[in-house]
Amino acid sequence: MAGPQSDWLRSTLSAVRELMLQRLEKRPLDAETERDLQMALEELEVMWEELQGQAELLQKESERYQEFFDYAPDAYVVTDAGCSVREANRAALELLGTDRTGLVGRPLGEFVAEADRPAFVSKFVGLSLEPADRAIAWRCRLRRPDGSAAGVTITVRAIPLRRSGIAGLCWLMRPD
Amino acid sequence: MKKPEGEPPFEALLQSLRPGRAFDLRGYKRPGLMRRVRRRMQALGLDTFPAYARYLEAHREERERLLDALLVNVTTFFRDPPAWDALRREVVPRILAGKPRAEPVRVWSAGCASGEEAYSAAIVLAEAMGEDAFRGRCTIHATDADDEALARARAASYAAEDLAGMEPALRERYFEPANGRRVFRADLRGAVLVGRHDLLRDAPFPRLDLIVCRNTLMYFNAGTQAKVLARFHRALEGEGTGTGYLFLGRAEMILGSAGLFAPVDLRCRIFARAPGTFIAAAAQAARSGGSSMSRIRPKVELHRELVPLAEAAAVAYHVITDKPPPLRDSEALREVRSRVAIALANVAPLLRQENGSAVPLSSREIRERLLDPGAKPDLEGLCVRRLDLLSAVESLKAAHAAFDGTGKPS
Repeated sequence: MAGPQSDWLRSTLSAVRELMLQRLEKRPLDAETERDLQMALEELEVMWEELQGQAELLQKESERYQEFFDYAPDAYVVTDAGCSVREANRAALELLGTDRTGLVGRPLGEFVAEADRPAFVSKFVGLSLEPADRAIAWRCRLRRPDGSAAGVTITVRAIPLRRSGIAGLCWLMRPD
Repeated sequence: MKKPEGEPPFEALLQSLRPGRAFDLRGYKRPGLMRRVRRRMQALGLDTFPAYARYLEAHREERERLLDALLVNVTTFFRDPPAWDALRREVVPRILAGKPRAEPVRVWSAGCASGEEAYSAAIVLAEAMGEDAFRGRCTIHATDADDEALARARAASYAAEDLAGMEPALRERYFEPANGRRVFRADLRGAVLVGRHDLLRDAPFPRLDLIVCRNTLMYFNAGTQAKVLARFHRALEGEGTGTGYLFLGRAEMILGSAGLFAPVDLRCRIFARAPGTFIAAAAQAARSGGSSMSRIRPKVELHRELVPLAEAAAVAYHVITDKPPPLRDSEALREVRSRVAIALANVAPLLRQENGSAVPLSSREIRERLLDPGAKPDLEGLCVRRLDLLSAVESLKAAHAAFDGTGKPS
């Protein structure tokens, strides 16, 4: 992933090194200065390698996490604090009977059966009064886009974000 | 044995370098080492590693030049000024605030090269503490694996241009002119202990409040970085505070060891030893706890591997309830101890005998024995591994439910 970027930086570094050596040839500095310059360039290369390694590690970590989330056997949905869906795993898409494009960005409440929506809203409002680490759970009925229904137990907990309060909500839905 | 990372001729070359200097290059990233060796080879017109190895055999002076090229030392005073500002603003006040009784302040500049970083740290601390307190309380270990760099660090003598970037007032206050150069003030220099130390082989310094290790870790491969970071974590217990800080270089991150440290200022690469660990909380409790002789003062000897259960329980009680522990030998304390022990037993096999071997009882048996109201549970001789305690914090918190609001067990 860091391929083209690293080539770009590498070639810039070697160009700088080349330039430096040419200049030195024309107008030699003392050996110590030349050594210092060489070392500074070498340090930049090592820094770049380190950052590149970190980027690869982060990428792998994020893929690993995505995999874990996607293949978790329970249905998970993450929404923003206003209940708009940010992401959902496979089990959630199956349970809600939709695909990713039909879900992401939509209010989760649309998938709750009409009769259960007032309760859904009041639970949702209640959640904002709970301390951040408390989860609340209740039973309700879902309504899928194809009109079919399913009873589930919803558990939801706020995802705290340091300094800026609620970052979002994490929803677990288990069929009854 | 792990198989060598690079090509065999290169590994042989590294091997041949080892007896010369007590210095281990095996944990270093191979691409960088190879690049630096190739650069030397280019300068000499040699194409292969074996040819270069033969050249090294024949020319002793090349050894020094190579090692010099391998160990990159790029350092200046207060390099990355914004990062040093963050250290001065955010970290040093916290360290000092954690030592209300003028306890020692212990710092390690790891990979200090020619000493600029160590003396920068010395200046920041002397400015914050005042010179007298700095002389009396502060120790700064300045170490590197490169003897030549260390000799310069020891001399603490710098050319005018080395100090050019420093605030003039600081330069005047901390450096004295000598032979056209500037020398770090002798009366403060005593706090800086310069010594040889190989991060990969030698034990770290204990009970540190701050480790400054900038642009050193990035030369190591990922596995070695993780090892060094684990050592740093152990070392950063703080002199009496339980929380020390780690100051890394701008390109360095804590990825594989994320659980060990929490960022204080991510952009400036300043981290704190992970908070919320049992030992940190215990040390906090120990500091804020009353010292009345009639009470057991929570105390965990931070270096001991095994903590006696009774002691762990008393500390846990204090940490969780934020109340002074009950009187020694009181019924209440015995009750508290067994309740905490029960909580610990939930995460068995954490309990150990004094010799470190696991208690030959299942966690259920331990629980049953401790719960049996008839049998006075005997906790003597039972210990908890310090590291296990860290992961048992959650259970200890659950044990909080066992205490009512008065600090006495319900």
